[in-house]
Amino acid sequence: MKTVLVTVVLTVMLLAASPAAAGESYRCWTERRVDPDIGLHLQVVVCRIDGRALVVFDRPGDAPVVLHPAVGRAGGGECWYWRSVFTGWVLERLLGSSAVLRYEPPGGGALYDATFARCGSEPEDDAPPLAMVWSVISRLAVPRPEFVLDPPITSTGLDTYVATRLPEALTGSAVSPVTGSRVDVVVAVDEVDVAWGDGAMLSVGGSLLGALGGHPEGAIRHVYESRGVYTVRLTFVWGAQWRVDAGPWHSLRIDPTVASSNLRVDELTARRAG
Amino acid sequence: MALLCAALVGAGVVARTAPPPSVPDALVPDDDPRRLGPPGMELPGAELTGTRPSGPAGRQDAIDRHGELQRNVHAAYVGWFDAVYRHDPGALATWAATGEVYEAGVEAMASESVRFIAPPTALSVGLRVDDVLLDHQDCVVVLMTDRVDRFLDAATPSRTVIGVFWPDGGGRLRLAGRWGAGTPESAWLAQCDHLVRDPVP
Repeated sequence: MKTVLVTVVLTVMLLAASPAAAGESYRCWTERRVDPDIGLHLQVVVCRIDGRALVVFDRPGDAPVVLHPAVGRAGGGECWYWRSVFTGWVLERLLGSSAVLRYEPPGGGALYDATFARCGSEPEDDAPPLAMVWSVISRLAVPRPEFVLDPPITSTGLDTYVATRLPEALTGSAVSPVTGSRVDVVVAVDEVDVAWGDGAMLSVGGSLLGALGGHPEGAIRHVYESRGVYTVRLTFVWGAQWRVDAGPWHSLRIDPTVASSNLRVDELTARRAG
Repeated sequence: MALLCAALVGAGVVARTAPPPSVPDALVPDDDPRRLGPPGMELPGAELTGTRPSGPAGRQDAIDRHGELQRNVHAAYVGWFDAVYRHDPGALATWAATGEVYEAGVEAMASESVRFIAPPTALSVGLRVDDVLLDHQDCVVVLMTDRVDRFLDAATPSRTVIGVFWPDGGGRLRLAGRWGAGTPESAWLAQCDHLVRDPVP
């Protein structure tokens, strides 16, 4: 009798345990199906469990897993899908069927994000170029540029210049131990956004980046209308270009770096002589 | 937002109600929010269970809210099908929360597989909210079962799916997406938390 009871309890425990809790690995993607009778679409999550069984979550109570976004390859391109393990990717926002994912490198540090199409079929195993791209970017020591204001204390009605020395482009590469493909990566500042602290904003990009040299050769300047102490903030927008085996270049956005400085603005007043 | 939702769910702030006892439609009074259509229009799974739910005020509130969501989700379905039936893209845009749902409606207007046999009305469109999975001010997610064979020539008369709706601020729910009934929460929750809410054409 006791043996029977133990057996029953064990059976109930096994039935109650979720498949994910048993350590199974889920790789899931979303398929969009049209219900021809009513014309509405239905999104169905399909999962490959431990590389074997295929499960479609279409019945109430079917969902035993917490899913995390991941990046893979399907239909010849990079795409995002779901996994039951955290791979470092975080879903930022959905744009229709595509998504902006943020990658947080293990151990912290810089954050990167990129836009991916949704995997509409089973993704191939992970070793996408982007994984190598991230690893190269992680190895590059992305600097945090500073700036100076000229003059350091200014007056209303006078030009105040901002001067910064932009870092040289950073380059890196890696060779996949799996495919032998070579990935080249170039990281550089694409744009500098200047917030003057009094509500005025300016975005500087392209050839104008050379105008951030300060007085007298620079052209990025501002005139304050009121006295006070203003916090001037420069946002350095970084971009990464990458390519595989000398193929076409692709772009990624990297989280910007920010520098700020307080500026005292005095009032320029005229005094009558004598 | 995901963290907020998770926190709200954990704190029990988000209503996560159990499915109401199944009662055949014929047994539900005309003004009962669980009514799905005319008498005799029973959805799959309906079975005689006896008494109607009763209990403390909190439970009554949950039942009232369930009824309100039932009416609003039903109205969204009726509105969507009615716009398709009348070939009215303007009306369709007021019930579709996303471009995808809107475009599906426009395509359905010209589709030969969507065959109306009667006007879609509050009486002919059957819809039951089986469970409220998320009840938040900017997103409502329900497990729901429809019944379409009173107004459509449909090979599949009924289906149970997860419906994601975005309230429009005026009490109206707009359909944002439909998911398979067993979809993991993280998948449909992403449509609440992360989908950029672009204006529908």
